[in-house]
Amino acid sequence: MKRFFLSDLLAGLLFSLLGFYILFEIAYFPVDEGNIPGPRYWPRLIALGLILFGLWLAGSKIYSRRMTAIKPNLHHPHQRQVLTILVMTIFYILLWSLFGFFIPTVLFLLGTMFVLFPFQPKQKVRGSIRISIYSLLIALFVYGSFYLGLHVPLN
Amino acid sequence: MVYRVGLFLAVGIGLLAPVFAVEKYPTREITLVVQSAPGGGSDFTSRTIAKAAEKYLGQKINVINKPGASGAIGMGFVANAKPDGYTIGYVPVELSLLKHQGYNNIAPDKFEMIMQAVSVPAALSVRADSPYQTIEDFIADAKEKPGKISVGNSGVGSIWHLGALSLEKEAQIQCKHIPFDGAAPALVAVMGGHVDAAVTGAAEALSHVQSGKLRLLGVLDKRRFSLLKKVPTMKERGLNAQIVAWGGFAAPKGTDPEIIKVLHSAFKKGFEEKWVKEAYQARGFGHAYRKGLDFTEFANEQSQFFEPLFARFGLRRK
Amino acid sequence: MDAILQAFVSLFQISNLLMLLAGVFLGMLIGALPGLTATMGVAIFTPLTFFAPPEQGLCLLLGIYTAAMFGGAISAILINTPGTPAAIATTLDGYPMAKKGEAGLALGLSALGSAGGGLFSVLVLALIAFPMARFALQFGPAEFFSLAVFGLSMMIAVSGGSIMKGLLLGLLGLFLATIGIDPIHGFNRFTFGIKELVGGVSFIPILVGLFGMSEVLNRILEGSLQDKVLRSKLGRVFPTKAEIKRVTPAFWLSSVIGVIVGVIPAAGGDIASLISWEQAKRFSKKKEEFGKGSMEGLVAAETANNAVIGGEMATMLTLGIPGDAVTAILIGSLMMWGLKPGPLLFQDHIDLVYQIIAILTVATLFSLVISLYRIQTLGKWILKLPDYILNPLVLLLCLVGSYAINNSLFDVWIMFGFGVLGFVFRKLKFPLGPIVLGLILGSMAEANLRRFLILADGNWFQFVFHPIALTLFVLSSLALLSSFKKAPSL
Repeated sequence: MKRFFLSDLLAGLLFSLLGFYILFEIAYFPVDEGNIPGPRYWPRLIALGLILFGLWLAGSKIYSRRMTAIKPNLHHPHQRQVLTILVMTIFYILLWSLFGFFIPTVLFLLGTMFVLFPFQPKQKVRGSIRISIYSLLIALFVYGSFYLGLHVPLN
Repeated sequence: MVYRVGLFLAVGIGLLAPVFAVEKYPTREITLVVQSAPGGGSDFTSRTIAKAAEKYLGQKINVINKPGASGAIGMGFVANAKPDGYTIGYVPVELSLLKHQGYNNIAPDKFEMIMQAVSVPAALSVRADSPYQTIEDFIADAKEKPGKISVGNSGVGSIWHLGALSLEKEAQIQCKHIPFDGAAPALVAVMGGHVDAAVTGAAEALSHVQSGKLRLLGVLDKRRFSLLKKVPTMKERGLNAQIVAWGGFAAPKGTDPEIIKVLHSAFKKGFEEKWVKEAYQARGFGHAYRKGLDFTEFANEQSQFFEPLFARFGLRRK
Repeated sequence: MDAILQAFVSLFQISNLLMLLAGVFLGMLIGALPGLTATMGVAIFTPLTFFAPPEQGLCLLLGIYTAAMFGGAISAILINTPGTPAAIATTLDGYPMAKKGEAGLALGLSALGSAGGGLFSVLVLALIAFPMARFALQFGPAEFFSLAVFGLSMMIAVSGGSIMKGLLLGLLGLFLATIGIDPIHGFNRFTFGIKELVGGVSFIPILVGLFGMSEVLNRILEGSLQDKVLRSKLGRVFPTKAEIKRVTPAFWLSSVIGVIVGVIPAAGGDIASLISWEQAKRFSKKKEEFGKGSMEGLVAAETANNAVIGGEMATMLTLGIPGDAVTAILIGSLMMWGLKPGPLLFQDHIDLVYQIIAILTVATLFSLVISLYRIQTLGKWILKLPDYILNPLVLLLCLVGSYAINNSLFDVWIMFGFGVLGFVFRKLKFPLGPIVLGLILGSMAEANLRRFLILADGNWFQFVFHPIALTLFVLSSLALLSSFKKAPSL
């Protein structure tokens, strides 16, 4: 089961599944008129390719020892960082849509830097001050360069 | 930590919070949403008039693009925006088309119209060395070879596609319709001899006609095209095919009439500036104006006019 | 000749030079920020030029256009995120070079290549604009289809290790390109009722996610000390004589390919640089280095995307046809000033044509000087940024850039999704290049094939009457055969 999680084998199967889904979906598309291809013609070629190569990839890996796979391990500090930052990003986009650009951006930068900052045991306060200043400066810089420099208002 | 975050919040709000004081509209900059990507005709009209109107409005007008789904994204955004006069949008002829395509419910009744600002008639163009000298030549040949003559347009279900279909119907001929990704590629295909003719806006064909690469056989309008007076209208030749694209400015439904009045006055003054007229002239855009209520009526009329066309030509999708 | 000199002399006025400088700076910024493109920059600044005299306006707009192609390289090389779509191929070799500790050299070579390609294309524009532009009109549906097929035949070449994985991602790219209203029948495909998808998925957020965000995640995950040491090293900027000699064939090849692709309407810097990269690989003596930090590959990509500019301008000025989105806007500006692009421009306003040539030349040189200077300062500064600042900053720029392109939060979610997907693909050793190829070329291939078959009444045999198309088909099959032959493993 461990081998199956996020591996070549699973990827191959998922790609062929996407192929089958496309075939299923295009069954409802208008049919080709004679020799002139309609909306379903091109997706069908893609679907057949996905199924063929997807199954091929999966099949060739079933007995293979040389399979690429990801083994998630949440005790690993870097993997935990990646996961935390992904969750933060989701919250950031949500906050952005609710409260506008600037404040969520400062918070987002503060949060991500907090996760990534190599805190020294006795200098927590100093580190916090530093990342706070950086967050504010970066947010101001980005906001300013988009809005004033490029005339792209961010809301 | 908490203190610091609080401080940032305060600073942030201080920097960005809009001024809520109730004063004479407009008290802060307004946003004009364009429904297409930067660089097209709608974008040009919007940015030009916004630039001209700023002076009269006394506030900056930020033009932003929200393209996608034939303009439904941008227009939908404006229709759903707070009707406070600070978010307005450009509405092109698609406002009266989109509902009939069956994808969404964008329609004139979602807006308070400010004014119409532009119009461009459809025109049929062929290569300069084409055997078709007149629209009659074209129709005669098409009748001889039904389904063989190819006519490019600017995209399936687009206003120029409707133009090609109306012409076909009115002339009782059958053509091969080739949709391209915009009017410019369709005209390039005519110039390269890859298709026999194309229906696009007269404005888009203008410079190629002037440089001697294309010939217009007729415009699909009541009047002749102001910059090419020699080209006849289809109506003069007994074909009742009229397709004219237009565009203008609109605010979300429910915007205060007083605010609309302020906006209208500023946009109208900008629209009348000499350099704006020259910019229109250079592009071949019709300097066409209708004030708010007339524009609403017009957009509704157009919507009713297009509806049967979509049904007749089988362009209604699920 | 005198007239051209005259154009250069008249350019050297304070007001013109200031505009040009402003344009070059803005262009660099726009190019370097992921998500923002030259098209967007030129469109936004066009209204500001309405009131300026034509030469000043052209200085600003052409400055942006030229410099954006330079700017795209900096983010491609330093953070593996193409700043503009035209810099996709730059990431293939530029970032590996930076990882090897040769960031300075990569930036230096890319600036020199860009400048060389730009100047070459201006020369072509000055000398043979008309014959080149006639070639542009030869491209109809059959030819565009074959061009797309030719591009897609590179899929295996950009797959790196595994052909199978490359093809699967290529097909995924092709599938993504079919989402939205179909180009010929207007039928709504694979939109799941989401209105943002009706017009198709936007390409740039996907690109930014796949390359930029996934790279940030990857860097956080790896977080290795060794990478940091190498990364903070800029190294020398200027190539040695031997290095220049090595990249010269790739340079000329890409210059020519860039101009030709530029001349063809609707094909721009992204396609040109990918094709050049692949062709340079085919003719190189050290094919195995491509994709792992090859100087030739980097120069090929960067030269081509600037060489495109002269080609685009040739088509625009001689025929009045936009070669790409930027020249489409420029046509509007020229008309605004009462100058109609087309053959008559060369009779009535030849001075303007010379002026454009002069502006492009000087803009290229300005961009080169600023790039080289910028490498010393900005490059060093970016490399010195500690990870805890750099990673959040790049992530933020990916998010903001995806938003800014269409002012749409939906695009930000798309970027996020493809960032995660790209990260997983990286970990599973799937090559990301093929997705981009599929996305860029998918709808070009499909729409033109269908246009062609309508015109030909469904008769495939009609391709015989299109010599350009046939030639490209033969070249594509050769490319396919040779890449299968050399492939290490399926």
